[in-house]
Order: sequence, then structure tokens, then C-alpha cells
Amino acid sequence: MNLTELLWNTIFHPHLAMQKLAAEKPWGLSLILYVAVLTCIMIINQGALALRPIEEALRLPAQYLWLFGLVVIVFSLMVLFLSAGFFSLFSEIAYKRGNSLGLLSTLSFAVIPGLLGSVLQYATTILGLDWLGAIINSIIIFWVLVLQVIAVRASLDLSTGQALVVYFAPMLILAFIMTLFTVLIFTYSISLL
Amino acid sequence: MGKKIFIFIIAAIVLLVTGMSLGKIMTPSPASMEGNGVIGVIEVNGVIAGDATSTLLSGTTGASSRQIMENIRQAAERKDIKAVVLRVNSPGGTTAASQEIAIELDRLRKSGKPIVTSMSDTCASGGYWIACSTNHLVANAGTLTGSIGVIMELTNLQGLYEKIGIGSITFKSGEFKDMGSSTRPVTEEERKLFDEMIADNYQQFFTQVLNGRQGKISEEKLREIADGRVLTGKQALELGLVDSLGNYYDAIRIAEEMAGLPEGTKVEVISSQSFFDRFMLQVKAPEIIKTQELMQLK
Repeated sequence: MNLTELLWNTIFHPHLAMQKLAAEKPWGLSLILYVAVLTCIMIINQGALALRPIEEALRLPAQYLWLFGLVVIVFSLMVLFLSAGFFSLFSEIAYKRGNSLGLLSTLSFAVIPGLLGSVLQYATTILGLDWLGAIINSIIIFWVLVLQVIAVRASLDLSTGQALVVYFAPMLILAFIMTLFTVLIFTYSISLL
Repeated sequence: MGKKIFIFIIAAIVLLVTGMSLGKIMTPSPASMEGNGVIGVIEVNGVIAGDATSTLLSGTTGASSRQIMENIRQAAERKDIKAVVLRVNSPGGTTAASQEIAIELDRLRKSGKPIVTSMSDTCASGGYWIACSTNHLVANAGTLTGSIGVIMELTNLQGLYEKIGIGSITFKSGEFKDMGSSTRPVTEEERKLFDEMIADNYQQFFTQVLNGRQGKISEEKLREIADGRVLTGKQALELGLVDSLGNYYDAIRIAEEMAGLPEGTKVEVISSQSFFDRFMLQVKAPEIIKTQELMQLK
């Protein structure tokens, strides 16, 4: 399957695209695509922001903008690697199935709708239809979320239920750790009184 | 075939929008092309110097005279900018940097565009020097301003060097080539030269204030207070060193009135650098060597 087919299928036949990506694991191409998509999204979002009259106080200091972009890309790449690694590790432990490189490939392709969303949002900003932009944004977020669950399911050969468990496991674990820390800090604070 | 065309069209649209956005980001004058007039705001933040120091993490620090002069030129060239507010938050800087900004402000004033200074926390010394090249000075009652004077600080580290065993050998083409050296005390002849230099710089500063505040403060009164003292905005108003008390928005309103613009005219901060400028400043950051300015207005 070439890139055109992969892109087409990611949009119209996500199951097929994710299965193919999980099997072939073109992680190098996927990472390049991921960075390119993120860069375009950021540039388009900044452009859309420049179209709106921004309150001076809310403006990000000019000299930090490009640095901010760089930090976002590095951070997003870290999140991608951590997600792929964690999903694979968790699935290995829970279901005896791991595929970190496959996950890296599928999760990278799953962000593509975000680019379409940014383009559409730019268009709605030009047309002054901010409310429509907000609706489109919500739909795109949901689309990317669904694609990521499909990516996990296809990469790890899981059922939809299992994929949802793997996908939401980091959030649940994080929530558990945060609660634990809060309780510990609270208990420690009380013991000091 | 249909798939290829579809993907090609989507990719072309994405690239087109990305290009448009990039163009928008790189051109820092978006909102002002419509309407009848714009108030341009030029910010002067930090120590005024020939070039700003820049670090990768903290960005640009200080007020670069080159950058500020470029902004003033931009304000002069743009037909939609009818008045300028110079927002100053600076304790001062080098004589030459303040001087060259003031010259550019004088040119802008001569072109017929009124300039109003809005003083923030501090607008002292070099900051006040440049403010004197504007039509109207607005300060907050608690703003620190004035500090009309020149200072030069030298450190004699001879004793320390001797204690830690550092010896210095100087080869020089003339008697005064190493004047101000930290390895030995200043001689009487050098002291005289430094005093003359300070006096000359002080006279230039004094003349700048006298010209800028003509009719608002007498030469005798100015001579009395131009001893380096720092004043509050309220004291400065009483002495005639500023024209009114108020905040940033009051300064904008005064600029609107002076330019004959209606209330609520669009305000644009023109001192924001373009994306490319910011990137290039960061790229060349290692080339900008931090230097201790010998003579400062502070």
C-alpha cells in the first residue's frame, strides 16, 4: 500500500489503513508524516490567530512563539513515543500482545484529521463563522480519538473493549497516582498540625 | 486514480493554507490595513543598548536601539499609522543608543506624526532621554523617572589579582590606551580625561532635555535638578519634566486627540518582531557577545 492509499484509507477506511500500518510498521515514514502534520497544524493555527483581533494582554510574547512551536513538537513526539511504549507494555502485561513499532506507525497516522480540522477552522475564521469552527473542532477531536482507539486495536490485535481499556489505562493510572499523592500530602499535612 | 486526485487536491489545499498562514505570521502588520487610522505602539523594555542580548531559553532581553529605530521607521513609512505611543519601561542605557533612538524620533515628529510617551514602572536616564524627543509625556504618579546624569563605573582589581597571583602585562601604543584598566588604579591624567568625557556626555543629555522640555522648565531649574536624582511621576509633573499623569490608555487617548482620531481607534503594537526576525535573532544569538558597557545612562 503506497502513501496515497494509506492517506485515503486513514480518512475513509480507517480499519483497513490501521491494519496495514500495524502489519508493515513504516515507522520512519510515519514519524516524518507526524512531524509534518504537527508543523502544518501549528502554522495554520498561528495564521488563524493572526486573523483575529487579539487582546494585547492575552498575546504570547513575540519572541517566544517559535520556541513555543519547537517545544510543542518535541513534547508531542515524546507523548507519541511514551504512548506507543506504554500501550504496548500494558497490552503485553494484560493480554500478552505487544507491538510498539506498529503503534508508533498507526498513532502517527491517526493525527491526520487534525490537519483537515485546522484547514477548515482557518476557513471558518476567514468567513467569520467562529461558532462553526468550534463545532468542527469538536468533531475532529472525536474523530482523532476514535482513530487512536482503532490504531490501538489494530496494532495490538485486540477487541474494541480491550483497546478502550488499553487506551484509557494511562489516564486511569495517572488519576490513581494523583489521588494517592493528594491523600498522602493531605495526611502528612494533618499530621504536622 | 480518483484517490490520487483527491489526496493531491487535499494536499494542495493544506499547502496553500499553510503558505497563507506562514505569510500572515511573517508579516507583523495584519489588522491595521483597514479603517482610517491606527495608533502604533513601540515598546522600549529594559536597558537600552546598541543590540539586545539574546538567549535561547529566555529570548531577547533589553531594548535594542537598532530594532527600535526600525520600528520608528516603519511607523513613519506606514500611511495608516497616524500617531505613535512610545511605551517606555527602562532604567536607561548607553548614551549612543539612546541618542540614535532620539534622532529617529525627532525625524518621525518632523514628518507630522505626534508621539506620546507612556511611562511604565521606570522611565529614567536614557529612557527619559528618548522620551524628551516626543510631543507629550504621560507618567504614572509612581513612575520612577528623571535621573538626568551620566555615570561610569570602573573597578580596580589590582589587590585581588595580586592576592591570587595573576600578573598583567600591557603593551600599548599610547599613554592612555589602557585607561580604565582593572589591573591598576586610575592616574590623575586619566581621571581628568574621564571627567571631561562625563561632562561632555552630561552636557549632551542636558541639552536634549532642555530642547525637549522647552517652555516647560527653565534652564536654571533644570540645572538644579539634573544632578542624577530620581523623581516620581508626580514630582516630575510638578517640575515640568512630564506633561500629565495617566496610564497607557490615557496616553493612547492623548495620541488619538493629537492626531484627530476618534476614540477607540485601532491600536497596533508595531514593535513585535516577525517570525523570521525572531528566528534569526535566536540563530545568531551565540554571535552576540555580552559586553559590559563602559558608559551608561542609568
